[in-house]
Amino acid sequence: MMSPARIVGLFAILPMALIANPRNCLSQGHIYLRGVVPAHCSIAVSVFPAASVRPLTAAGLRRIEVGTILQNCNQRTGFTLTAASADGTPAPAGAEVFDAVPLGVLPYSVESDKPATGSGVAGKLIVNGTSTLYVNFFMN
Amino acid sequence: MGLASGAGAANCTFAFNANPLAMLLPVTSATPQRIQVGTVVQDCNGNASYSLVVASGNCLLSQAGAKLMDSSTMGSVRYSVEFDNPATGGSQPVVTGLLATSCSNADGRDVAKTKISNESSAVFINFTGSTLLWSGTYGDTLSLTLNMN
Repeated sequence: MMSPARIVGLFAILPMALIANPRNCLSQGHIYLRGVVPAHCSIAVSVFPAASVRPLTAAGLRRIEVGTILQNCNQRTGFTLTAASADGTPAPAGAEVFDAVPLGVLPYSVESDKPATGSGVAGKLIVNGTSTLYVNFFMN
Repeated sequence: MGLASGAGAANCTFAFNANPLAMLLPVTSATPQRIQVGTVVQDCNGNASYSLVVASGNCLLSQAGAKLMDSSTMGSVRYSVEFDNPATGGSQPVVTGLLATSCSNADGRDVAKTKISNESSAVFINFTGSTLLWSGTYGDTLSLTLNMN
């Protein structure tokens, strides 16, 4: 029969053996991955010949296709496409074709035929979207 | 008093090194990419087998598989992990396709009880980017774990 001292010694050996012979050591590291897509939004305007040669002698309401706007945008927040008239500020306000001699004006409005993806609509990736521009005016 | 009989203690050290290119991934390139993102340098006295396991932080999001993600748009670029290993200890020289469609059992290297001295495993990611990604920052964290068997 073992003496109490030997029994105590035996129990002292076991946990040290377990510690001295580890079976599940873990070691971990991390590698961080990253790629950036820059924001890019652009337009390309194409002007039709009809924008320069209008049938100003034909009476009635006219709708003339004057150009297209090719759009690309990868921003989730979207964009807004606006049009402005260089001759719009002299009274009365509004887009107009202006003739300095004999000081005639022809008011007109702008119409945009939006593509299915929607210029100015957030949440849609715009790839080669095209809007067609028209001017509408009335000849007396 | 003595230690339990049998093999001595396993003594292994590992060093993880990231490649700066891991933070400059060409995600807008529509051609297949193979980018070395880091290395794992290993030393082991041969008293235990071990496995080098890889995991992706984004793996379980959406469709299972490793992916770079932009949290603001939820856009993603899927990738797989590849290990190029020394053939010591029964290791496969090349292990490909890890985490492509599964998030478990991604062992990059398995080493039987063999003395390993300053050996490096190269870690690559394979992916094809896209020109149709939302603008943003696409990222993930690869976790490399050494499991002693």
